Amino acid sequence: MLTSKHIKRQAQELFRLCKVDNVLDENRIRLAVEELIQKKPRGHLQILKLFKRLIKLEIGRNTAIVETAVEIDNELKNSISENLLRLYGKNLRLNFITNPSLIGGMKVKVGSSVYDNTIITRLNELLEQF
Amino acid sequence: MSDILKEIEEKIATVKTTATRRNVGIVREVSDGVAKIEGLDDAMLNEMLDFGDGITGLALNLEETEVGAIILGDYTHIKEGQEVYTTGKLLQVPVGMGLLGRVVNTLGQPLDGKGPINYKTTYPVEKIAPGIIKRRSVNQPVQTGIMAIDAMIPIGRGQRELIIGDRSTGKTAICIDTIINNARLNREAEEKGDESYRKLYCIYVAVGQKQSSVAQTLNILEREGAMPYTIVVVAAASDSATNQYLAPFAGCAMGEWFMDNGMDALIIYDDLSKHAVAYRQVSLILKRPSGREAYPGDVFYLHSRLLERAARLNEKNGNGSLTALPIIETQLGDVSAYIPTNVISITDGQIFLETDLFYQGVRPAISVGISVSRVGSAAQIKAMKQVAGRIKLDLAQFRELAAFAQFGSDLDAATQAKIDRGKRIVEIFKQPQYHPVPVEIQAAILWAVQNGFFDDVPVEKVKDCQDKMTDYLVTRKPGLLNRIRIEKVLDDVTANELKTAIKEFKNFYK
Repeated sequence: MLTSKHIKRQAQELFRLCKVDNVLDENRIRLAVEELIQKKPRGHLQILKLFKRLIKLEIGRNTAIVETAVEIDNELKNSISENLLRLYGKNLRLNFITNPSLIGGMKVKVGSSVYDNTIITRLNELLEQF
Repeated sequence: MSDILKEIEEKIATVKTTATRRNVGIVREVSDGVAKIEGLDDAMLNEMLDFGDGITGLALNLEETEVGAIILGDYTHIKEGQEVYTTGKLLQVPVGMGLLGRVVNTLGQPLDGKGPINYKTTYPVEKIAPGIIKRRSVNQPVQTGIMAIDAMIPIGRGQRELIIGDRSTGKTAICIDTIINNARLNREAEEKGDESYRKLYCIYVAVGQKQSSVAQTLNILEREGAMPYTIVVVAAASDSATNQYLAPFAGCAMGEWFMDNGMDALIIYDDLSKHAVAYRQVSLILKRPSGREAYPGDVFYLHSRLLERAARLNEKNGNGSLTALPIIETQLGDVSAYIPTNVISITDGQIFLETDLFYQGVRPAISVGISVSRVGSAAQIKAMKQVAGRIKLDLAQFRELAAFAQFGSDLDAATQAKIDRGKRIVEIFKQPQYHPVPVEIQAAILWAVQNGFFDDVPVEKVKDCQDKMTDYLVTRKPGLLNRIRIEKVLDDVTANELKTAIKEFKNFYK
């Protein structure tokens, strides 16, 4: 019987094999998924689910989400990109989002780290103090 | 005026609005007070997590892709996808004198409606126990006021003495009596202005008990005037398993403050069986591997790290102490079950209460044969040592001989004398609830037993004789009792005086 531990181990192994120089290789991922679907080894669906989750987490770790209340100009974007790439390495993907609910300021999320300098957060902090 | 404006502008220019870096995670699933959180890469073990809206959690499982956390408070408002932040703090509870007389929950928040708690310091709930350099051996007694315990199974300050027995055999009663007796001693010392007396503060931790039982205990403590020296930590049966699991640790942190500040404290964990059950529930929901009786593998460590925090510190480290009285409830007297054997092996002795004795009317129903105190005799006062030295042996011999005596009537005089003495000792040790006996009276009564003053009293009248003798000594010979209390020894002069006093009493006692 294939236990959840085996499935986890196989998904992790597959995930490891999809990395080239510690960076995920999209072609290898596609190949791995196709092979799994074609050959249908035992527990392949669960392996696929776990594999997808590991990739999702890895993408999240290597993606910076920059949220601002208003659209920012290219100059500022370039400056932010430069700084973030210097901090987190050249493999970081950047995603700029406009979110008016922030009121003002900027929020940068990379993996599980959040740099928050938005007005809404400050207002919430103020609210908690009362 | 323009200068001041410039000055302000310059100052504003120097002010930098720095963005704070926080570690965030997303709730993946939440059930039964436990949440699985994705992200939180920087989370530490036992770190407090902020779920927003004043709800906090405690990171217990750090896994490769997620963090397993227990939620303190109402978990029903937490939703999947919600953001969770690390705080960089360990779980802390308020400590200090301001907690005395209060009833608090696991987080140290008041439950008694007496307003906010006055505190300046907080202590982490999980703390490493004092090391060997800081400790010294037990040498001061905890007066429980229960004759059988103070004479035969003495407890020292800094000791861990297990109270074990089936349901409704008087386990909690022993602890309540101890609290009441120590409150009485503290009060007396305060009234007399005796600064040499080391007050013993009590912490009663109720884990998984019915609210009605807790209310009853509180009423008794209030009625007997013990609350000013007592902290009650409640994680009742209706509280979440996470709160029940943390309550003993929170109580222990409160006790440690007294110890660290050179004072003495006594903590009662009522009871650790329910605590183990709560921890089992938390562990199973966290999907930790289960072992014997489905308890997690670290249930021994759970109790050992808790009880190890009870200690007697040496003079260099403040001379404080924390005494622990854990309670374990057995099923049908089975002490060889998993949790009882664990806690027996951790503690410095146990007081075993038997159902049979309880229903025979021997209350407190202490089974002398299997109750021991491994270190307490070093803390017993000399007067008690003098009179109680042979009592345990006499009683053990009596139990053995009494079993034989059931089969035959012809016994030699020596055996008959031992049986008669044993019957009287059993009667002497019977004691009503909430009536702790001061140590000087205990010593005087036991001296009378040892010297045969009860031998001519019929067994059924022993208790009556004891009560009247106590009244006589308290009303007529307070000086003698006071001397025993202060000198803590029965020298020839005191013994002679005691002999004369008891003879006088026996002359008119019928």
